[in-house]
Amino acid sequence: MATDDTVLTEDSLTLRPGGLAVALKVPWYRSLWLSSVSDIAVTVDGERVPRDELRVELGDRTYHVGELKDQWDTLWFIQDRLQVVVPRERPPAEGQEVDVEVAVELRLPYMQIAPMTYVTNHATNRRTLTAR
Amino acid sequence: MTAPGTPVQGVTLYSFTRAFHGRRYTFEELVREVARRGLGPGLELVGFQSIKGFPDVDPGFVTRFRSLIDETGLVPTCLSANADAGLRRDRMLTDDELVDYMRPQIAVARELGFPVVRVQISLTPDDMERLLPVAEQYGVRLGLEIHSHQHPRHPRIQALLERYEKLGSPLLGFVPDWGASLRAVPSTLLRKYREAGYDEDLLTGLEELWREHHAEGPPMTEPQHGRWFGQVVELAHRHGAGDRAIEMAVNITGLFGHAPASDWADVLPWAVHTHGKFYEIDADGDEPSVPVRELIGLWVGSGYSGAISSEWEGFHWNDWDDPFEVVAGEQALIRASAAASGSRVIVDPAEARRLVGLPGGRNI
Repeated sequence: MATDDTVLTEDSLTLRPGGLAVALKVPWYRSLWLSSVSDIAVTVDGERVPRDELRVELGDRTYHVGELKDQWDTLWFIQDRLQVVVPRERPPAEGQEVDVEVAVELRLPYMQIAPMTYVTNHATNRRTLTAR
Repeated sequence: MTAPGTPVQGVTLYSFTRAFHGRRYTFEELVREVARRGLGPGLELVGFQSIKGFPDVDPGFVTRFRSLIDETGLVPTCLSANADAGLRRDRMLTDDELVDYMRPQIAVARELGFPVVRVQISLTPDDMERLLPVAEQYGVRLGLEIHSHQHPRHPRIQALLERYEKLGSPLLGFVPDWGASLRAVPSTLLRKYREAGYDEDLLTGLEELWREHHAEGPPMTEPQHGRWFGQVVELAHRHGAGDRAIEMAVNITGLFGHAPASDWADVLPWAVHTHGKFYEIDADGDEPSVPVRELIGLWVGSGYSGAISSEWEGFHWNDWDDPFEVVAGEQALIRASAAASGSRVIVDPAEARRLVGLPGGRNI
């Protein structure tokens, strides 16, 4: 699925204390278990945010990106958003435009091509978003 | 001689993935839109797409879904389940775990009134045999989808067929997906790649490779498919499409299958539902990449009177066409093809319910 354009939406960027949050849609046609998410990368105004600084929220739970692989009993519903919380030394002001790029790497758990090897989907989406 | 079949017209909500994914419709709104446009009567869902929390479905949803079906007059045909054997990162699910993973999905199908559950190739003949008592318990049929790059003569499908013949249960069967039998690379995909700036040599190369594979015939082994996959990846890299190489290979070798339409004859007696996969409808109302007329001729000729879900997969790259209109286009083509084959397609809900409805209605 050519999913690059589906990850971010116009209203994806919100302000948080000490930073911002980027809302992501699952770049696939169905809901997936969080264990299907191999990686998430976020670049803000051209600067790649270190992976360890990102926090991922789904519902009332928070994860490091590296912990998602173990969440094989939590479903990311196709119409729900993952919030990726990004700390910023100087958070943008409300209404400010921010250049955001996200890359989501998925492993599709029902599409096996060899033992323990699965079809992947890589979606990259870059947009200028207004902080709300 | 077999009496001509009368397939039931229908659609899978998968065709409208972009609209649902983009939150332009709630689930209920989408079902109503399908009914309003006359794209039923058959209705298929992908459980993990349409239903939040699937397969843990709360009683409130079951009640709401049943009243939605009563209100719209649509006929539930197939609930598509997923066999997520790679759920965990540390190991594959064991056979026991995979059977347990499928069980609640099958139970939900019955609760919602679906007579057929689509299951996937991760399931072996042994798994299907172990799931038979579950199908019997809930009184639904299990159809293992024959999806490109698998095809009717693939050894894995033949092994399933052999087991089905041994078990002889009407509750085990197949869901043929027409994507296994393409006749050309969809032009809309090439248009999308062209618009994305990939050079003409790459596009020509992709089509040439697909035609070479087509001449070779559908892949009988995984190494053969792997070799094709590698050829597309290598070609894409040579033309500087490295970040899109895997996607191109998945599309060219994974979606657009090479099985001659006539190969379906062996498995059609075991077809419990059909995915009328298609990509585009041209100005003449034909599908240039899927031989719909020929396929319908075979389906009708084999006496098939199950549902055919129009399954538009063009949305993967095609964000310009209206999914409701292209689905209506394929359904018109299917009706005309059935008429040309001396039969007809069922569009009346009562007739459809008699042919494909859950026996005994929804009461368990």
